[in-house]
Amino acid sequence: MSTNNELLLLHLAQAEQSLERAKNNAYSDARLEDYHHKLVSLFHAVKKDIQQQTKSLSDSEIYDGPKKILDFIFKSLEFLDSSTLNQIPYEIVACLKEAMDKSIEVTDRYIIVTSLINNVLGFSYDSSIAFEHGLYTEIQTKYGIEFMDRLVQINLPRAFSRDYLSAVVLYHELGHFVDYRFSLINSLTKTVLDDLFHRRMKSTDENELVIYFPYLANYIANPTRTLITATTTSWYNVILSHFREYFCDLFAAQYIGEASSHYLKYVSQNSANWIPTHPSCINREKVVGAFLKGTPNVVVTLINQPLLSIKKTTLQKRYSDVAADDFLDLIPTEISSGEQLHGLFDMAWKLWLQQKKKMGDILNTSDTLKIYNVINNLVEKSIGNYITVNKWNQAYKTLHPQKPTPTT
Amino acid sequence: MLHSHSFQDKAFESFASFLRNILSGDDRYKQLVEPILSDAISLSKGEKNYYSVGRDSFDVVVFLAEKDPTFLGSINLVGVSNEQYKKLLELVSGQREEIIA
Repeated sequence: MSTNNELLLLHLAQAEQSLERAKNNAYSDARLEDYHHKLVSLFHAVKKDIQQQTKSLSDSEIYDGPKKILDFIFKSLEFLDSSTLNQIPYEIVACLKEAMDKSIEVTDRYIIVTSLINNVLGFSYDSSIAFEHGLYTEIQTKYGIEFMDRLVQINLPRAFSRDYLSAVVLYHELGHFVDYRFSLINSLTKTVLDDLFHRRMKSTDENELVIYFPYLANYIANPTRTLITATTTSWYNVILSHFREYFCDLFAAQYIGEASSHYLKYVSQNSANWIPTHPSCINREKVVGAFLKGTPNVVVTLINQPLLSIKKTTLQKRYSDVAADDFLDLIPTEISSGEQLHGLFDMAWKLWLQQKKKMGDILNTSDTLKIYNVINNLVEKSIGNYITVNKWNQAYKTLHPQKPTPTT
Repeated sequence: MLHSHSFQDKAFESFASFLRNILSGDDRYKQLVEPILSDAISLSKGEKNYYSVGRDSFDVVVFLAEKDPTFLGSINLVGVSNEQYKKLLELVSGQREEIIA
């Protein structure tokens, strides 16, 4: 038997052990229980397959078959293990879920799981197993097991797991998830580069584009252009990355206004320079500012193209303003819609930036830590109350389908 | 990290694995390959654009459409031959080297 066959058996034993360890996991969401059960069924199906083999498997049979499935089981377990009851900051997840549900197809079903990591800048999404469309289809075709929901992991710094000011960064990260799901910016980049090559773009737009993609100046000025592709020049990936970042900034601004720009400016030290993965902070702020003010901007116009063609929507403000009055009375505010839920972040940021002193006077303190904690607590309670009331209303509607809910 | 793959890599790996399974005689995988192939053919002929092809296998579809439009144009979806599946496998297997180069 080849070494790889032996390693496959090792992989199988490791997976069985990991499933055994995870068998007592208690989840906050019944769908995670269901996912876990399916994972166990899948493991047994693969194990049976391997045990029924009468001959040694070739390397490609191992890679294309059981190894791929066992890798999937391990990655899923990694996500499930970090999403047990005592680890989930569920108020943040609820806000992101609300935004996510509005940004994806109704047929897409994702469960957000979280992982707390020891990196203060470590906000990110791991959608590596959510987008393995081929693998899910293959599992269904081969084993008859259908995963109704897919796991998406949000990583957030352990230090900020209850920090609702820095949590706005997660809206930007959600933008990456939505982009990847629909290949929005991939499609846009290819279309824009095709249009530039075939000179289909208006010269005024080309000139404005140079502001946001300064390295395109020579290309645009050149009378003979060649098509920029991923395989011909590394500039392609720079343009793609920059479009992605502009998109995510705009995606986030739909829900949290300028809040993310404040944080970004500070973290990136308001850099005027672009790097291969990110446009300059100044340009990013300019694009978000134009969108929020409703002034024409070539990047906003271009990003609306794939949104309109693929998602039948455009960038728009998706939060409503929430008054700070309740917070200044030191009580949570009553939230009655998803738009207001997102509006809480904008309000909390405005409070921190503009009314910290007033809040300090009310609290009879100049200690910023106390003010910071009070704002975070009030945001958390406001979100928590909204979740509780919503759940209660849903339960009431189930019990009394004919009656209006008392809170409406 | 010992090893890591992006989900774009995995999309190519999945497609290659479907093709290898077809070539080993498992016809169940033909139904998984067909929609990808169909979109790639439509994109290469200009019947679809980057916004109208399916989103689930976008990278694979675009790669196939741009890599060898003549070969793609010769494929009849009703009866794709084993030779054509082999050629498709060669194309996607070379994809990683191209991106890395």
